[in-house]
Order: sequence, then structure tokens, then C-alpha cells
Amino acid sequence: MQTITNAGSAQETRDLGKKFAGSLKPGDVIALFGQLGSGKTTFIQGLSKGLGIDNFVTSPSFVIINEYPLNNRGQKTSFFHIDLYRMDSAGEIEDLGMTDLFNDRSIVAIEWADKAGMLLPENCKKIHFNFVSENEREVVFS
Amino acid sequence: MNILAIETSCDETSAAVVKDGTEVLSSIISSQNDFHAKYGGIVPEIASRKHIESISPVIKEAMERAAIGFKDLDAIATTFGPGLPGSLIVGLSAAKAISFALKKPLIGVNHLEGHIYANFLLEPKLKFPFICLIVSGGHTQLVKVTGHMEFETLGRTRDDAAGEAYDKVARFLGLGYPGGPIIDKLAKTGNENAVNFTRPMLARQSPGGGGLEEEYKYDFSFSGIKTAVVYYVKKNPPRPLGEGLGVRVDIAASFQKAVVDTLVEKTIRAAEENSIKTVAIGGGVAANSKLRADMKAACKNKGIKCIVPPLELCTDNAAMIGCAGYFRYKKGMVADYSLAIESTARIG
Repeated sequence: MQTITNAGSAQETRDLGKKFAGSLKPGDVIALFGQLGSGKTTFIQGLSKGLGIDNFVTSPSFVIINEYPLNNRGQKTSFFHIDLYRMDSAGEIEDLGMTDLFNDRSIVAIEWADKAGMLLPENCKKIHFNFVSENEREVVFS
Repeated sequence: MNILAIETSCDETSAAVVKDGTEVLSSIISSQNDFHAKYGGIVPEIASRKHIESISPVIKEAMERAAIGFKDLDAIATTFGPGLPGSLIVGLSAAKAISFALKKPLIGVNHLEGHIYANFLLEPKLKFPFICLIVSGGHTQLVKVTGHMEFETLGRTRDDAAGEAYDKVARFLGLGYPGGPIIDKLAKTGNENAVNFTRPMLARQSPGGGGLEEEYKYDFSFSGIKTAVVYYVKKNPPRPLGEGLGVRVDIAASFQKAVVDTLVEKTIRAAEENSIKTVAIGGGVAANSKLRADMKAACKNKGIKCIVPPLELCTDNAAMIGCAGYFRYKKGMVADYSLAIESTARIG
């Protein structure tokens, strides 16, 4: 099923992410698609707030993978924020060990998920971000 | 007192010997830039492997250039964070091994402290308090320094670091990697007033009149400038790259102006509002020629003393770690062998 939502500002994109976090459980993989500046990191900033992460979630493009510990009813779980912007092939991504993170102790969100191709799990949650105007975005959940 | 310092937090393998805190006897930096250029940025796994290959020869060369023996060392200083885990662990392991073998103290240094202390290598008599702008590929932070190892972080980036925005915009415009030096060079021939890109969180008062939240008034946001560039290019597509850089040069220059204006204005504002008369800078983006020139001009205009370290002290280097390590040692801040890497270490 596909849901199309409009976000009129960066704050609304953040709010969408925060709300979406409520539906997540360990083991979930979220694949984010969209051009540079389309709101992927902004959405994840809201999502991480929704997961109860206090830190400012900043862009992981530089370090590629950021890990944030989650407090999940005493269980040790983590939220991984991955950015494949600088990766060129699925082979390089495999070398990162990304697929090792797809397990029931992690929630993983992947920016520029199109670069991961076949490495994405079949049941991942896909979110597409499209430009409407400089500040407005169309967010498509599928 | 001779300190052997090691720095491997990102993609430079570096070792230095520093005497009495501010006299650099040797400083060796082995850059991995060529290995990472093809990826448009640093790849953690490659960086870690390259550090392992380079660390021993780099330390050996630092000792030879300093013309001292290991028995003449008094302590070993190393970066423990922030940085890439796989990179940090190489330098920390080497430092622990040497410290253990020589039975000399181990000093763990925060990488951001290092960038601040690079200013003492240029100006050993630097007086407190001062404001330091740390700006690089991974960090953008304004720190108030009130004494040795006494820091208060006034603001930091809320999304992209300044250097990261440079890399992304350079890649988006098809200009290549590393984005900072490339845009810096191109911008000299472009019209920086061609496009008036947004300067997020620069206004003392937001357009709605609500004003900035007091707590965040020294924070930065570079994601918005990046988005503004993307949107501008979408609406005004430049000619294909095959026909020359054309308008891309003006876009790059205008982007750089937006970033540098933000960095300079927030730094000056932090100095003025805290009644501080000295400003220092550090980090890879502090090597940017426009930032250096504009910061000096703005400080001069306001009667603020401005310290701008030479390029080789702005980018990552072990000499600054040796300097910071010395002042840590003086304060008794010596580590034991339980010292672990801390990839997200903060100061202040």
C-alpha cells in the first residue's frame, strides 16, 4: 500500500519522521530515496527523536554509519543511520558490513538506498522524497 | 619534556615529536587523499587499513627527524576521539604499545582540543579567554576557551559539517573531490554575488519576528545552503559539463560566500557577546583562503585579535596533539591502559 503525504516545511518533514517512528520495532530496515536536499536526513532527525534519541542526529555522509543506542525495555538495541551517498557500487557497500546490521537488535535507516540495490531486505520499508518547491516535499511511504 | 604524539582519527597518519609543548622537533603526515578521491570522500574501512600500513614508518620517521632516541621521550600522546573507530584504534594501540614498552606515561587527547591547541604552536603566549572556531569535514563548532583544558561549547552544527557541505556541493556540481580546496580555488574566478543563497540561522531575529532560541544562537546549519544550491540548479540548469564550467563557477563562489559569511558572523557574534577580544580558528576548513581573509578582516574591523594558524597546522596533524598532550600532562591528566577510543567524544 502506498501513502502520499505532503510536508510544507523542514519542520513538517521532521514531524512525519517522529510520527513514523511509532510504527518501528527492532529488526526494521527503512530505505530512503530522494535527491540531495530532498529531506532524508531531516526526516531521520524527527524519526530519531521519536525513538527517544536525545542527541542531535547529524548527517553521517562523512563517516557513513552512525550508531545510537536505544533503550528498549532493558534490551540492548541500536539505531543505525547509514548514508550511502559516496558509495558507488553494491560491492563497496557489502564491504562496509551493512547487511550484518539487519537483525532483531537493530533499527536501520539507509539514505541513498537505491545504491544498495539487491542488498536491501525484501520486506524493508521504502520512503521516497520528492521536491515540490524549495521548502515543500512530497513523501511517499510504500 | 619530549612528547611523541600520534594522530590517526581520520585519513591522515601522523606522528610528531614536540618539546615542552610548543616546540615542534618533527611532524610527519602521511595523507591518504589519493586512495579516497575515487569515492568522493573518506571510506572508513580503507582508512583503517592504510593507517596500519603507515603507522610504524611514520613514527620511525618522526623520531629520526627529531634526532632523538626513544629513551629521550618523556610521554606518549595520542588522539582517542572523536573520529572513525577503525582509524582511531590504530593510533591508540600504537601509543599504548610504545608507552608500555618505554614505561612512560600515556596521554589521551581529544582531537578537537588538538585543533584548538594548534593555535599555541603558532602563538605560545596566547592569552585566555579566546573563542575558537573548529571547522572541518566532520566538525563545525564554536568553543569558548577560558584556561588550559577549560572549554565551553557555545554552538555546533545541527546537520552537515561545513566541510561536508563543500564536498556534497562540489560533487553535485560535478567539480570533484575534495570539495573544499576545489571550490576555494574556483571561487577566486567566480562572481560570489551571482546568487544570494540562504544563510540559515544567521538572523538575530527570525523572519517571523520570534527571534532565535537563546540556547541555539551559536549553532550552525549547512544543510539548508546545500538544498538551496540544489534547488537553484534544478530551476536554472547549467550547460552540460562538457561545455566548460560556465555558471558553475559563480554558483560555487556564491555557495562559499554563504558558508563563510555564516561562519564569520557567528564567530564574531560569539566573541562580542561574551566580551572576548581574541578569536582563533582550527580544522581543515580553516585552510580555506576566503574564510582566513574574511575572518581577519572582520576581526580587524571590530578590534578583535585574530589568530590564523598556517595551513599545515589547520589540517589534521600530530604536532597539535603533542601540544595539547603537554598541557594535559601539566594538569595531571594522564591516562591508564584502559583508555578506549571514543568515536563521538565531545569537549565542553
